[in-house]
Amino acid sequence: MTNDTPTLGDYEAVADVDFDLDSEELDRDAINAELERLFNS
Amino acid sequence: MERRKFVLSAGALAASGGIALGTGAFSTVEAERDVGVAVSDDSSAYLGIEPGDGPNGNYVDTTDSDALAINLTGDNDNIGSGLAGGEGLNANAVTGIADLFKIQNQGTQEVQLEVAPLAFADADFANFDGVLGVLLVPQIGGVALDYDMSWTPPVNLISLSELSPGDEIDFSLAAFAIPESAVDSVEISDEIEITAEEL
Repeated sequence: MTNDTPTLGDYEAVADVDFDLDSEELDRDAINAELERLFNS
Repeated sequence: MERRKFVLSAGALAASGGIALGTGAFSTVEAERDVGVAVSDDSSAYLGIEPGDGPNGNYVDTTDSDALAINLTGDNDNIGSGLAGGEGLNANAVTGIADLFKIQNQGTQEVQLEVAPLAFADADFANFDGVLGVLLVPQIGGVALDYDMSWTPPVNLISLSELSPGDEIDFSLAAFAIPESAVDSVEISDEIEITAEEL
């Protein structure tokens, strides 16, 4: 990905990790929304 | 009147002397000039690395050698003077910290800047007690800065090209910890590598 808002999946890819997020309190959408907010702040 | 004439005459003599000396050849010149070199702390070095301008800059601490350090622990020296007692992230939550620190080109030429890694993780695999993820976020979505982000695996870094003298880039942090038992079971103690190379 180039010059787009990063997502959790991008971070997982470059770091070669896979965050297992099955928590009801926390999901990928919440993290991606925060990443977008910070990236564009 | 007589004194004034004398002064003018002395000036003329000095000028004549200077011209006469200048026409002579020389074989060597030895001169001494001052050299001043200082080693600066991170905030004022040619590659400036310093806390964010706002209150969130208090999440950044310094090491014993005045180097910048992200410190989201109870050891942050700003606790009590900027940080009101917090000692870590919430579990079962996403924490976003904008304007955490910034990197500024305070040198003379364009550089390519690399920051690595972008993602940090820890997991308690033995007891399945917790997962902690920390992601660095460059705040380049809203600024007019020429950059080139590369997310190509397996290189866990951001590359920003053409960071001109005076340009700066702010960094934020997004982090999450799950589940509740992540408290005191996972932690991160690592380093960020910041590289600037002339273009």
